[in-house]
Amino acid sequence: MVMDFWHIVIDLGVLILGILSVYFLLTLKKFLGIKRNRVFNYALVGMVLAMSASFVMVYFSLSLEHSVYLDLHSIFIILGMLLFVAAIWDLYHHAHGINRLNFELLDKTRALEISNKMSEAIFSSIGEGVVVSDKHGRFIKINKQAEKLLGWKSEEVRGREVAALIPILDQNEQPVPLNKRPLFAAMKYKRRVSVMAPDSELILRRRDGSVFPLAATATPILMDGKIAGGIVVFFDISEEKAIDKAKSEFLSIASHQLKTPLTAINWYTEMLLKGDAGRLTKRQNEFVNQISAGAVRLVDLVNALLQVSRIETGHLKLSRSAVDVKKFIDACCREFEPDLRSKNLQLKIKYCRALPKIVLDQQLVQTALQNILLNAVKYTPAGGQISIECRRDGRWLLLVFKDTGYGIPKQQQAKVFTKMFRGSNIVLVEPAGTGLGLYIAKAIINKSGGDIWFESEEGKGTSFYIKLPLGRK
Amino acid sequence: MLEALAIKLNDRGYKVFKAMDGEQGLALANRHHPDLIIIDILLPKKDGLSMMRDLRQTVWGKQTPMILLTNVVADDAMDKQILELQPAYYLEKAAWSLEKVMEKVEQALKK
Repeated sequence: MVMDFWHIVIDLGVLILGILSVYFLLTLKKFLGIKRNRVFNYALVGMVLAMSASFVMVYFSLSLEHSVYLDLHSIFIILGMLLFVAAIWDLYHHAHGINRLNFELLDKTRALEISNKMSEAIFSSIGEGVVVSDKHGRFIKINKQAEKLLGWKSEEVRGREVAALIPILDQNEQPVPLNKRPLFAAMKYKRRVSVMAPDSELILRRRDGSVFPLAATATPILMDGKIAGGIVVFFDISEEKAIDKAKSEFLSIASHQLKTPLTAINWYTEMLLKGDAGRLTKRQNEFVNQISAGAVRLVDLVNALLQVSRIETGHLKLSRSAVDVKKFIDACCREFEPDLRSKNLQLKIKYCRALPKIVLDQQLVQTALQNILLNAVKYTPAGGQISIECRRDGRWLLLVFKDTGYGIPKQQQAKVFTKMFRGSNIVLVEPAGTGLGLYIAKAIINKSGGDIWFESEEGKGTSFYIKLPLGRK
Repeated sequence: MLEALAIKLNDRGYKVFKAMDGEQGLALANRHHPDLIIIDILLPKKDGLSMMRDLRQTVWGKQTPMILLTNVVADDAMDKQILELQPAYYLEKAAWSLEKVMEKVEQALKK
């Protein structure tokens, strides 16, 4: 009986200890903030069951063999203790996991903070003005440069309407419609909109009423495909405009200064050759002819250089009109008749039926086609053939210029449309030439919305293909 | 070049009045009312386009044929002005032989 009494006391002690353990574990779980943890819950339930079983054993302690009772009792206590350790172990891992998550979260918060600081630093130090607007076109913020350019402070404009505060004008100083303003166009069409120097014709009016020519790039801010706002980066292009004007003036003056003395040479040699200053001897006639040919070449060179300058400064502008293809090609070829005759070259032109009128800049495209034809005439040996084929290819006009000339060496073909290129084989045949003709031709064709390419075999000939859009206005 | 052109025109039987600058040209034109005026753009004292504009504002000069003969490369703004002044021809000097210029003179007089 004494032994049974002590057993009951120990069992009761174990049970109280079990309850305290469960309470301790639950408190710990709550403290760690763990809401769901299946393994822990199983361990807890298991432990309660083991302890309960141990306690139930007390009632059977008198009817069981003492040794059997002790064995069973020990098993349940050990089981309970193991489950307790398992619950603690599980909690530890959970707590560790949460800790790791906390650290990761802290790291990410820190990274976000750094990223924000960096964005802020870029925003305020960027050389161009930046305006951030909400989807209704109201200021969110502007950077330091924008403050300088606009004459407004960031805190003054926040929440106010961009369009009302910053007037944008056209060349006639009339307000530009909202959908033509880069920021609003970008938000309306959900794409980047750029108006760049020197083509931009926008003018921005500052707070103090002064104005400056404006270039800007606006980008919409999209959240799940919907407009959340817009950012516009802009700058003052007064300097670019001034440089552009100077370039344009230089072009005009240089062309005048170079061409005027050449015109004098041309006209006076023409008069000499016509006998306006008396009859020339045969030798004098020969010399004056040389002067005249040289002057003509110089005029061609000046014109070519001016074209290159126009291409490079973006001044190549088209003046389009509807042109009859057959008449146009005939006019392009007419100038070459004397050369074709003197070299005994055969020119065949094939037109397909019912060619529609084409809309193009007649003067410029004529220059391009004549540059190609000139090469064919110059670099096809006497007695050779040149053919031109015109055909319609859908909404395109396709022109094929084919010759039986010297061709372009394969290893040099990639350079054909570059400036100053002359094939190594033709330099030997014809030392004079600028190497600008095809460069200019390509620039004109591309500017006209077309394309140009070629096939060539040295010693056999070259075919140039030109594709021009029909009916473009 | 003025001289070369004057010689050619004289040879063809035209009476020629020569001016060395825009102001002189304007004065000569207003005094003699010629049948045709050949003008360069880049001229001393008064540029060719201003001279043309002044002439176009006179009753006599409104319809008088004028040929712009120049080596000046016109930009868009200048092109617009030239179009408004309605020259009979707008020729680039360096691209035209004297003979071809003479042809254009005759065509302009027939217009």
